[in-house]
Amino acid sequence: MISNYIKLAWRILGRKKFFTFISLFGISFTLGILMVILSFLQSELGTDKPLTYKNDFVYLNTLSLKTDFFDTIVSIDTTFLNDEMVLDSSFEIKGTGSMNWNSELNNGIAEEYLSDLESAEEVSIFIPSSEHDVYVNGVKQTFSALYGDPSYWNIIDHQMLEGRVFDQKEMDAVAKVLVVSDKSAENYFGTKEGVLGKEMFIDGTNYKVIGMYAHTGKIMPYVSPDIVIPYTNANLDNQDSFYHGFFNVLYKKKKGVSADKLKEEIVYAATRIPMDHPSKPEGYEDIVFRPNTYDEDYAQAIYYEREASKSYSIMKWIIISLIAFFVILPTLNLINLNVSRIMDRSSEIGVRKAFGAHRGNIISQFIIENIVQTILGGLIGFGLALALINMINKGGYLMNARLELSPKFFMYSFLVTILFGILSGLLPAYKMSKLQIVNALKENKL
Amino acid sequence: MIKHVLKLLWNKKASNALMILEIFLSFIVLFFVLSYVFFNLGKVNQPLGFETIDIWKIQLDGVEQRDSLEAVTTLQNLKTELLSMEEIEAVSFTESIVPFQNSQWRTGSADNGFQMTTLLVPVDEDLKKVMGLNITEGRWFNEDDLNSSMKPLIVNQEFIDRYYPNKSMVDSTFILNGDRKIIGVIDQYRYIGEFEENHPTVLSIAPYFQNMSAVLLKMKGNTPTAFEEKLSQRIANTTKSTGNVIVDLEKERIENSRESWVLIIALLAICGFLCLNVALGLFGVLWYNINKRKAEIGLRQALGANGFDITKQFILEILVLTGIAILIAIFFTIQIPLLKVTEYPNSLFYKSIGFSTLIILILVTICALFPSVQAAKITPANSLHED
Repeated sequence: MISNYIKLAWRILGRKKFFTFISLFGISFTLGILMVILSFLQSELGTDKPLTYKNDFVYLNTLSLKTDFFDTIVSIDTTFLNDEMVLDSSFEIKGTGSMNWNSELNNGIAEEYLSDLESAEEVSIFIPSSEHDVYVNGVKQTFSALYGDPSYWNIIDHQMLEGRVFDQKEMDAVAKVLVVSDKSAENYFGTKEGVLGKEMFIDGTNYKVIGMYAHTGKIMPYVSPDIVIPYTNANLDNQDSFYHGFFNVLYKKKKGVSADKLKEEIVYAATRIPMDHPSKPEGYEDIVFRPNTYDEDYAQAIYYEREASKSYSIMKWIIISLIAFFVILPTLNLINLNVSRIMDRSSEIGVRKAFGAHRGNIISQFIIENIVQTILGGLIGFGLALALINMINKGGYLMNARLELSPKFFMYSFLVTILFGILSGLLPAYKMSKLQIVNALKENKL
Repeated sequence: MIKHVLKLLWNKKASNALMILEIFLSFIVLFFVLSYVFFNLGKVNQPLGFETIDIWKIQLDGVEQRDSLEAVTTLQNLKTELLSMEEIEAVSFTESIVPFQNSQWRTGSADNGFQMTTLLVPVDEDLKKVMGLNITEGRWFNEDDLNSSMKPLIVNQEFIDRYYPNKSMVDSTFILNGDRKIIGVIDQYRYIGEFEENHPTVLSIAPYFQNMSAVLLKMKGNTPTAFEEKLSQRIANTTKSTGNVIVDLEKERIENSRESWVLIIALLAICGFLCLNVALGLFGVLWYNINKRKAEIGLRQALGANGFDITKQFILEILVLTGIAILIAIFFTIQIPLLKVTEYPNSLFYKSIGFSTLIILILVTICALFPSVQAAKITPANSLHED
């Protein structure tokens, strides 16, 4: 039966070429652009390498010194009670603002107070991105270096191509070693082959290459650095001596523990930090931490709200409504077109009904026809999406992001295509199935 | 005629409602995209207020927090060193607030009798020479200003327009962390980027060689990029620090605006595609419907209607339909400026409503024109005759 429907659908596509063109144009463009959006979301917020453990991340990038100001408002009412004046006074304490000083963290604070938390499986302390100009044969190249620790590699799951990563011993010995991405290796040495053991001259120091990992373009700098160096090598002279500095802390939570639990522990850790260090700026009373999950941090980078969860929900709704608007219009368009076109087929429906076809048969026939059309449009759209993704990656139009084609992306694209077919076919199919045999057969030439 | 058209539309209310919904949604999409685009183009069209060509920026690495006496000597040496190079015309030292860097210093107070917020930029006396700032009133900073009892300020035109409209503020006192004197007005200094609004901005002269972390260089024209490596070497030798980063300001300006342009172009492309899609769909539906009404057309022609009447009727039909959709859409969108939902100027939204209406009307008319003209060519002999 289904193969019959598909054959029929194919015939009908060829019958009115102009209408087929209009439908396919709309379907392929809509699906093509949807696929690009899907690919973006999948590459940036999906769990492909190196973001394998992304859903377990809790990220802390700011230490905020804070003081709240309060005003005490006293109001006094006088009343006469038994000819005696009575004062009735009330106090109201009202927050009138606060003073904040936000900056990244000092590594001392992070090591001492933030690295031993109950719900954290791994903790990494690093300087996310430090840019260095390097002159290769007279041409300037800027490398973004991450000054990290060995745990970094356990949290961000880079695919190692060659060699190894540095360990705690090398870290403590301030070993001049680094791990390089294949892309940067090619930029620096002109080749990816045999770079292990060679030296790179970064920030006035010669570092020995001990490993190479696959470059993945991601917008978050700490997810795709160009080179990774043990942070004991970083020039920390300019760090505030105790509270503020250059460091961020990335946690991977234990399995089965909620991210909120870990966040609470981080927030609580702030209370253990002494507030009487001589380097504390005058007038600040508290330390506040605002740890975020990966998605929240990502949303906050795009649309800043002090509470990252608020940024996240705003971004989520903006994306959902944009996609909804974008899909609804072409769907409506297709529905309109299909609703007008079915009248063409009324005699066919009349005959099928007269020979005993149920409404369900008619509906499924039309929806299958529509899905065949959508899949065809989806294939064209897929070609379009590939071209667009290629263009975006080549031109670097989305900052550092490289859109990738993963198996999940194919799966989602296919699902979206089918869904679009069902959605745009449902109403016309329903309308068609309601047709009375008499009306369908009365006026039409068979 | 209108009554006739309305009746015809009412008879097919279910499918017409779908068409109205489609046009309504297109209007809403157009409205938001146009508002966004107009708003951003409005910002880009204003001049930055400074030059970017042949200007290089050096981010110094770790001079600012060294022991201050040592830092001052280092920076003084660096300045002499830089000025001695013949490729460099002028040198300006600044704190962390430099063009296209995203760092800003915002301050606000009610000390002057009204609530005001402004951007504050600490500068040195050479900034004007390097960046080509344009003084419209008063004068630029000079060396004596650092020692004057009342610290001088230079404000931008937006500051005057917003807080002291139609007044000359030169030589007036202004309270900003103490008594200050306004000595001059510049037209603009939109250092954050091309897509940033024109905020009230105050330039204040900073004590020389303290907390300086960036250097702006005015280069001679056609300085080869190969000079960068040499320059980098010299800076590293003088500051004893290798992490200095040199950037070409013009390149950075393009880089800085690129994301915003990509977003605008992507939005316009998607919106254009949606419009084209809707237009094609509309065209198809109209063509189909008109073909189905051959008998009606034949009858009207037999009763004496000419081709123009027929075309007029169909175009009127679709325009009434579109009109209904647009009115509903305007009813919703006009609430944004009327209720002042956002802080953006009302004129922006009125402009977008106007343009959206225009675009939709033009598109719909074009889509209706071809099938209607086709319809007018139908003759009674063809349409009323049945085999």
